[in-house]
Amino acid sequence: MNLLTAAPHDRKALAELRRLGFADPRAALANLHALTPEPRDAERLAPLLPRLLQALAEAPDPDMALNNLERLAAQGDRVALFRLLGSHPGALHLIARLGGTSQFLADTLRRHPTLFPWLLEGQTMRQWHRDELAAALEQTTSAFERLDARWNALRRFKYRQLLRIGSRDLLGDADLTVTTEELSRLADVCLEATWRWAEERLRERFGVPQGPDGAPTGLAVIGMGKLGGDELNYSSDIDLVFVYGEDGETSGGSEGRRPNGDYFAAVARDIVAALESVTEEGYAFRVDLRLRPEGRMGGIILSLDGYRTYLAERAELWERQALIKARFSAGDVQVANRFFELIRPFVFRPGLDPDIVAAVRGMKRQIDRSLSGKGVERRHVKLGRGGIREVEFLVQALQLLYSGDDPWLRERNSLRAIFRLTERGYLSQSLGRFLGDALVFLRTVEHRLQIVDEFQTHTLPEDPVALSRLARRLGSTLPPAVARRAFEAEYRRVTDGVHQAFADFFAAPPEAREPAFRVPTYTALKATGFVDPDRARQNLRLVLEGRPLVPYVEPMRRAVRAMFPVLLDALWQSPDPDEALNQFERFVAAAGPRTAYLELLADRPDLLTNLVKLCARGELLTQLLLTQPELLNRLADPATFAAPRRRADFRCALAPALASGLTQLERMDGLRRLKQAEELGIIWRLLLGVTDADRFSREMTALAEAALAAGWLMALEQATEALGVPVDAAWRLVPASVIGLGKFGGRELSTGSDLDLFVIYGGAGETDGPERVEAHVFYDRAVEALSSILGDVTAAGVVVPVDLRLRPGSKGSGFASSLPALGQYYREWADPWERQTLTRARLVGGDPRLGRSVRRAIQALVYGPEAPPPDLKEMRELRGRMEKELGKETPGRLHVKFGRGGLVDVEFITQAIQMRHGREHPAIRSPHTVTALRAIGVAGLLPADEAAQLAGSYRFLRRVSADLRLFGARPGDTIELAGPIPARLAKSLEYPSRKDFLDDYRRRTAWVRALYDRLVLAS
Amino acid sequence: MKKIEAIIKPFKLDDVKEALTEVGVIGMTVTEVRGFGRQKGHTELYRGSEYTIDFLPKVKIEVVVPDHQVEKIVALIASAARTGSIGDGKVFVLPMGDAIRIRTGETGEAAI
Repeated sequence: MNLLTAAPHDRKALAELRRLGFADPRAALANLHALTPEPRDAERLAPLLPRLLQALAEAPDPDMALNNLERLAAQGDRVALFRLLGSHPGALHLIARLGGTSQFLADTLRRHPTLFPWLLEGQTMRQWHRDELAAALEQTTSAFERLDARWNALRRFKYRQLLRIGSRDLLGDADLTVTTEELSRLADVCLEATWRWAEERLRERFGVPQGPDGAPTGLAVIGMGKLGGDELNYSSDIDLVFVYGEDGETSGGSEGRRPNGDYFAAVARDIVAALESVTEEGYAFRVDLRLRPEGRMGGIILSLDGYRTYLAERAELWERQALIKARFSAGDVQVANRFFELIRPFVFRPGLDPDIVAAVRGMKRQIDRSLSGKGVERRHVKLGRGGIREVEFLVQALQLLYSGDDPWLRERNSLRAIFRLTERGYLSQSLGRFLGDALVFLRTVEHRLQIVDEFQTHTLPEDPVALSRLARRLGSTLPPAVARRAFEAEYRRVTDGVHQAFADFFAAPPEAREPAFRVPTYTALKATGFVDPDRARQNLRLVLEGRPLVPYVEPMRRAVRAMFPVLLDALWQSPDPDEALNQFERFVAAAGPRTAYLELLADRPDLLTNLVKLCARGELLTQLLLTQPELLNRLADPATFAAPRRRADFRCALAPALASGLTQLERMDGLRRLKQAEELGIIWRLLLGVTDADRFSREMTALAEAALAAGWLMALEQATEALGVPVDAAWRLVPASVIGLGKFGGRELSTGSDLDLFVIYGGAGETDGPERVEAHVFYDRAVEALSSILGDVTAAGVVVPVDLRLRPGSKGSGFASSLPALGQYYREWADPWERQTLTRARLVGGDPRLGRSVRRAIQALVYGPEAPPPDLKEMRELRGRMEKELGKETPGRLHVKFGRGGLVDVEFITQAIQMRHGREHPAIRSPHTVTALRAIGVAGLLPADEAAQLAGSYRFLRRVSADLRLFGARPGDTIELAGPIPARLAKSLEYPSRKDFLDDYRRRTAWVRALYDRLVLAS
Repeated sequence: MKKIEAIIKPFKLDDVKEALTEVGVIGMTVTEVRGFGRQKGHTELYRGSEYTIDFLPKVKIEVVVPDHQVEKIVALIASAARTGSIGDGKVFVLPMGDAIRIRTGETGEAAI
């Protein structure tokens, strides 16, 4: 039977159409007739009619699909359309899906029927990346000079891309994540283009905006909300914030100068107008600026400084929550980066913010209120019971609570945030998976609701027919009524589950079945040495019960109970119970719901006791564990503290940072993390008494040498890549060596010490790169790179700061010297104290053969026949100044390094003897003070008992200094008698009391000072 | 007086139309056509399935313009229709004998 020629009331024809799934067969038949007004049209369509009807029947709404096809055909050349439908394998399916799902996309296609062949190109129907979108937009708009023509082209581009993205979505080629990401990229490139146009236009009129220092400054467009989270919908507004660099004035153009604020406000207004204005081609995007500071009341732009002030003084919790999603969208990327630097500490605060819990509960109450008012309850996909907002709220609350300590949780996209929270254990595996699936389901429903008309509707239709169409748009191929019931059941299941999770999140923790552990009383804590029992009680309660809103799961509760008595014991015995408990609580919170760590501690009382000791050493150490809780496993491993580690061990441990295929930044971060992990192991061994203070310093030094070797390799690689390899006239490599001085040279490093070093290269040469530069330029560059590779603070912290101030040459000179220049400098220009620093010079890295030559040269400078004797007068003056200006001892404060009888006194005594007698006694030349003193005793240059006592005092002072660093004492090497430090030192150095420790300290330093006076002062 | 015929990708029609309107060309004839140039006879992949390209849908635009505008308009069409990929199309310039506006009987450039 031929439907195309059947009469309008032909029963068989109508029955056939009903069978195919058309709800209104009469209208369908009329549409088929309208589709083929001329007999020749019917002849053309007839061969493909069966396939067409099949495709229409499979569409979510066959009536709508046919209706839209008829309207499209009326718009252009039927012959061409039918030919395309018949000849292209994807055409029928696409047109039926599009027309049977989305009225708004069908209308778009009807307005631009020439886009249909484009949608049938393979090149079109794939994921486009930002640069491709940007290039296509540039290509399209650059043909137009006039602004209104450009705006039109921009709109056509947007609708074209919407059709492409929507088609892929409807055909199932792109999932929700890809679709929303592509929609967000589309908005980004449109913003980028309109930003560029605005700047071009305004620069001509007013010139370039400049900061106070005359440097140009720019505007960044920050995407917020769904745009920021790459979660944009077909009909979403785009949430934006505009921020500019500095205040100042423009350089002046055809209309003079303007304050930067006015200039950038004009740019922002231009961007908004270019997107929002309705032209004959429609609008591009609706822009929402309400997330800017002070919302509707604020100016539409703000400078970085303005933002800083605002955040510090005014901003509220919802703004912090909103800023989680902030993302660079368009404009000046440097300004954007500075913006993110600026907001980071504000949005993500370390530790548990006590205000947050209350505020989060307040936000929940607000949601409850807004819900009960609107009577939307269930059917509202976004705000309803168990809807999108409840999922997002839960996710963001967890992020606000925990991402301060755990940067991994700082994720803009809600779905990815759920994955990360699950990975870290803040959500259980099953709940995490459920919430992820639920969010995808609800978002897809929201999409399918909105794709019909591009309206911002979030409410499920009540009409059963409309609801079954929705179910079919969601991909069901079941008959409408069945599809509807299946959808309703699924929707109920998902929203029930979400709401349950949401309610549980706020429910009070279930009453413990066994009697809870009692937190010791105020008096008990006071009696056992806590200085702030109130704080301690609060901390203990947190450890026992978990942080608010994230109650422990059962295995965790068991582990905590098991370890609690041991914990209390360990705290009472630790040098500083208050600090130990503070840090321990932070560790437990950072370990978060990763039960394994707490179970490990519950199983191993020894480990727990040692961990508490570590915590008592203050923030510096626990910070390492907070950022890498997995290090706890290492500390639990006997191998970590069994054998001492040597330089070769450390080299192996750091090697993974140099693996190929890593970016420079990954390498730098990797080196930092690996080095910190090793450092923690070294400290751990010291705390457990496996190593003594000497051994500790030697290991710290060996670790620094290994880190230096890795850093130097990376630095040379960088310099070589940029400049080529330095070679001499005979094309041999010009080598370089690294010389350590000070504590590094003396193998006396401790935590937080800088590396004093300089670099010596062989001699003259040029690089073989495309641009030939001299060897000194090459090594200057390499040393600069080294200093940044080791010393720059990245997200992972630092490896070790490098100090180049003791290098030969004036302060303005380059960072590296040649071997000949080294000798010349010390002979002709150096002050006597600079020569004195060479007593501790030691080869620490680089080319060994050159290193030996450097060592010979340095020995000759300090101990050679031409070396002048030590200038004791100059040394005394220098020492006097150090004592006054750096030591600043008072009756209430001691300085371990620069104070009277301090470390420097011992070093000066040793170095004076070395410089006076080193020529005839090569054995005393060691840069290691204790070794040198021993040799001095053996050589009889000091009475043996005096030499031994001096070395003993030196060791004692070193240990005090190392402990002060671990305690994080500020300023470094200072003992404030009034504070808790002397008592802590006494405990950690195992003196019976604070007084015993201080007495011994005073006795030792007085003796050292007397010896100094006798040897250095008197002569 | 010349006739300009441009064979372009259909989706570029609106851009070309806008570009021509911008310089005051108000009349044009548009036809949906099929054709092939160098693209002919190869297979393409569309959403994972292969099919053979025979004729491709194109749009033909015809405008008649005074001699002094020819160069500018050809450049405009080329710029607006360009995507940089294969199949962007061609522009032909043909000599034109005369033109007559039927309603008024005007001839030559006055009729276009």
